[in-house]
Amino acid sequence: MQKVRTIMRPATEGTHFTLAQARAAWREVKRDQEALAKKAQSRQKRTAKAR
Amino acid sequence: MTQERDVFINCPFDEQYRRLLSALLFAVHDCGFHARSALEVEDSGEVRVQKILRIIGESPYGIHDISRIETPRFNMPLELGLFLGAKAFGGSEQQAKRCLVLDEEPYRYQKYCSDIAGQDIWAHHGKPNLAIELVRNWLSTTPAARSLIPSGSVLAYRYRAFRAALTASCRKLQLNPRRLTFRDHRILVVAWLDEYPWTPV
Repeated sequence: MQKVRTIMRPATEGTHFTLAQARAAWREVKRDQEALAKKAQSRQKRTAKAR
Repeated sequence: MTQERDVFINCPFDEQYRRLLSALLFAVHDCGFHARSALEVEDSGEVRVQKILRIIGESPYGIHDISRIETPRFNMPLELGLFLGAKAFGGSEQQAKRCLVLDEEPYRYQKYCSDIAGQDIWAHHGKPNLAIELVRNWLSTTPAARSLIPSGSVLAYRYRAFRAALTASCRKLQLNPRRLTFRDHRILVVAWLDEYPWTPV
């Protein structure tokens, strides 16, 4: 039986990724940043209320 | 045959210049143009100078940074010469070429490349923000500029936002942000600009 190998993209030479992949990554980063900003905002509100 | 909005970037490719190259690449794309470089194709079958000549022939615009004089590297002045030669001796399309010549310090080029003393050479002082502003101001005067481009300080602010998020984006793509190839970097810039465009009024 042929051995199945996991092909990893070399971290140093990422020449095989496409524009669509890059757009998807930025969208994810944007979502993460927005979620973090929301969290920080609600934490601020909670702190202000507690005072 | 030239591509209307291609900008050939002729600059050092060493580790210390990486930050400036990243800023130049970003500025070119944020101004609505397309950056080209000898690094964009890794084809050992194509002779390097042929590749450079092809890209110069296709690019109506060129950014030439001739700032490496401490460790003499003559590739940049050579490629500037090829660009100016294409402009001088090429057909009407080539004669319309325009270029921006950069150096780290003002007037330093007069010592080692005095033949270009008649041209305007701009100093970026090794600062990405200043390099972005110089590229923006130059590209905004070209016939291919599509609209009024935001000020250099605005583009520099956008560049800082891009850099701040670059590591996170690279992590998602399994890329090492310190070892990005020119092509990877260009794709990341183009994709970021799709997500965060500045819209003309």
